[in-house]
Amino acid sequence: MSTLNQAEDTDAIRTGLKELITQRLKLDIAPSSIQDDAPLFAGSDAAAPGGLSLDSVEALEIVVGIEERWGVVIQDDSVASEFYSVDTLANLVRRLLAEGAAGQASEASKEALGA
Amino acid sequence: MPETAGLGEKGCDVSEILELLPHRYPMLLVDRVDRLDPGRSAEGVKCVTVNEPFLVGHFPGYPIMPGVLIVDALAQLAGIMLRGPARALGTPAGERHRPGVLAAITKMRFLHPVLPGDRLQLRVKHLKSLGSVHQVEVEAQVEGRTAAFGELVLAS
Repeated sequence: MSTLNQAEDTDAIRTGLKELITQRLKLDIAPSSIQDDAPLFAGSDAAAPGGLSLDSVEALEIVVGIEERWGVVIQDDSVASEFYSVDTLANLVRRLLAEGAAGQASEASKEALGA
Repeated sequence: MPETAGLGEKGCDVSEILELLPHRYPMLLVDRVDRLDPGRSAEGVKCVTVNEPFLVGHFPGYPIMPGVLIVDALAQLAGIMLRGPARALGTPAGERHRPGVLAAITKMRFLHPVLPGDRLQLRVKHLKSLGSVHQVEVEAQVEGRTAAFGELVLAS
């Protein structure tokens, strides 16, 4: 059984997300220029500056990129609130990774019991 | 299990295609659906004849099917595949559906020209959806040889 890399903390996931977003969407900006809490799918306003105004096709591209990079599955019915900023997406990835690890652990214990 | 299930429960003839797609002459580019797994995958056929209106100008003396129309044939089959579940659930008579429209041609390669007399075998496979945006893997073959393949995004 492969042990999930627990060491990948939220900071690393955030950095990975920013790279993924700029690379996959061919954005002409530095990954580090995306703010953690900036709205990805809305424009900038006074309350939430730095918005990227991404569209639904780009959102799907991000989903596919996350699935490829972290080996998780994002369900179609994921809550829209998780698709707000790099911060919320990082929390989603961390949660899915934790669920995957828990699932693997329970599979492993089942196998152990069966053997 | 045979690849071609034939018409019947799993496929669609022209009259059913006309119900599932809003496209009409000269832009209806799916002649038959051989296999339909609603929401997952589909296989269909577009037969190309020398009488196709687009071959008049593409090109005089050298008729080849425009690549963008191969893309649209695949997108139309994808539209049928995505519409499939609605039909399976039973749609009220006379209700009009918004057609699936192309939102992105993410990736597309054209390997061989498609000529009059070719029978274009279309294959589409659903990859991922997010809300009303759907990513689809597509391929068009002629006599078992890939003429075009790629990835499209449709919005419904």
